[in-house]
Amino acid sequence: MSTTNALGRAARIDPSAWLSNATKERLWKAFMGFWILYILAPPVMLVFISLDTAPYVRVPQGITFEKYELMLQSEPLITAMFRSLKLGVVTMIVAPFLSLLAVLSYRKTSYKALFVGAMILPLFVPGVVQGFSLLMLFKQLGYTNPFVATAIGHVIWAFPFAFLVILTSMSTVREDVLLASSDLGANEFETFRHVILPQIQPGVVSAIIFSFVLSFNEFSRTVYLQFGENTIPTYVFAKLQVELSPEVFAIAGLTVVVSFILIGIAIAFLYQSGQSTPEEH
Amino acid sequence: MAYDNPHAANERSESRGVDFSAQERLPAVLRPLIDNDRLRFGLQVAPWLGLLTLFVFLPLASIFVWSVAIPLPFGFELGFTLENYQAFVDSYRLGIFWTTIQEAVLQVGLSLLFGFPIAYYAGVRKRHSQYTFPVMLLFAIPFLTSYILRTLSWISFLGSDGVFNTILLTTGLVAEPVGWLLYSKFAVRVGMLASYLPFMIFPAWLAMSRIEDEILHASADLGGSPLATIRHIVLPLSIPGLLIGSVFVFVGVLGESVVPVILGGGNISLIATIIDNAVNSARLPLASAISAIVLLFAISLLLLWEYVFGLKTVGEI
Repeated sequence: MSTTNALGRAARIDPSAWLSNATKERLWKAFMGFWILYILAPPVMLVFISLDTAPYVRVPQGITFEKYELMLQSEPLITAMFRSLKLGVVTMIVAPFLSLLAVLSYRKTSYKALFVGAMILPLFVPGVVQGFSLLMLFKQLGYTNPFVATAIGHVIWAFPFAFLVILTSMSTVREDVLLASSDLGANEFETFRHVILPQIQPGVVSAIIFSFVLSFNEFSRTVYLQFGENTIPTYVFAKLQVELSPEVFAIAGLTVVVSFILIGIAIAFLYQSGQSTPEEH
Repeated sequence: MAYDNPHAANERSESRGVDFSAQERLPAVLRPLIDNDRLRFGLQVAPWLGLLTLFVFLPLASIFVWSVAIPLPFGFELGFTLENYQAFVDSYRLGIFWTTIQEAVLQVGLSLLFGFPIAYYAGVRKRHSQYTFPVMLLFAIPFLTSYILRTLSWISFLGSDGVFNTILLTTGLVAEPVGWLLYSKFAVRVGMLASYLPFMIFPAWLAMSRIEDEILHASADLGGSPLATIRHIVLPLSIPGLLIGSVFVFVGVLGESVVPVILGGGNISLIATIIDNAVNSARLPLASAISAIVLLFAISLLLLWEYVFGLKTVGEI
């Protein structure tokens, strides 16, 4: 088959053959750029709105910290902020610890499909349904401690994500290295402490950060379990249904900035781990 | 694989019978943990399995019990009645359920339409570029910022003083602000797509970046155009990723309670809002019945996935 023949056939199958490669590349870049803007513009815009001089939502035209001053004067908002922080800290300790145990046991078991099925089931349950079912459980048990109830909801929500992150970083730990460790006389605790942990440390750190951010932003479970004690997202939502008050935008802008910084740190850790281990493919 | 197999490890240490140094380095209380592999495994499994059983499996299973409970003026009584399901089927609620399914299917379609090319560009065309990974991580940011706040932000784009209307007015394309941009079905769809597109992009990207270089090269060497390669190689091999993405998007829309309230302005309701209303008006058995139906939908998706691919594929991703 001659080259021209092959080219002709390729042109018949590929309707974009008349575009030059450089044009195609530019079109691809524009396409990607559009979707990155589509995803990123709203949260970034929120920061500018929080600094805008107008008390309502418009295209931002000035810079002032008025809304942030209003925020600092709002008593219920400060209370909600501390409650969110406390929940975030509890979640970022409990969820990664449980998922670390889960990953360690996942490696040993032969019922892998069952384990994964059980652990990722919460991802398949709509948040409203999960929050509501927990509310019913606590009502039936007569248990109404808002902090513990919300913390349980948050841990369940963060657990599958933390599990998947640690599982991914655990996949770079090779089985023969663990065997070598036990052949050299280490017990399982020492193997974990000196062989596994140093290798999966970046994964554990990013699981901790992810758990905190997921808890800090959780809404649909919290709204059923808080029994009247607002966290930041539920406070914002409750305020929205009454009026768009300025301090809501300040807290929104602040949350976006804090989330971006934490995500940046998590990504830096992940990236570091990606660089230190040689790629297999 | 002695590490995996507790019996093999036991036999070996018994046959040697002398070296207990690994045990002796631990305090006496922890020694049973080293001697007994099954106990150690049990202690690793018990905490998370206990948590999931008590607070995920138990309440979700109980939903079905509560959904047939007999409603009373103040609360409910356990028993058996189909009244709650009746109240769901014989009212506007069934219509809203269908709307939700339609919107969910629409979102799955849109996210496939736009998510597939994005994943293809990152996972196939630019798979060896050092910029691909950082750029794709930008799409992960919505996972971690509150979707209430992100949704709120769309008001500044779609509102009558918003970005789009300002652009349209200054360029003279329209004489007065376009009203249907905000507080409409359109706004809800735009807002939901921004929330759920990343749920499609990531599984699809992972699936495509696992296709081996040799296969793509072989296709090109045999005269396959990029489109033929997509049709016969990339698409079939990325179907597991596209399917898990579709499930995430579908389940997400089933549980969506924020976007219709903030951007819909009462023009569109989804099933989660109905559950919420039932809870707020203390009709708990009714809320359970609707939740049970939504849950059945979600679980049948999980089972379908297990039937088609097997859940082991998650561990491989």
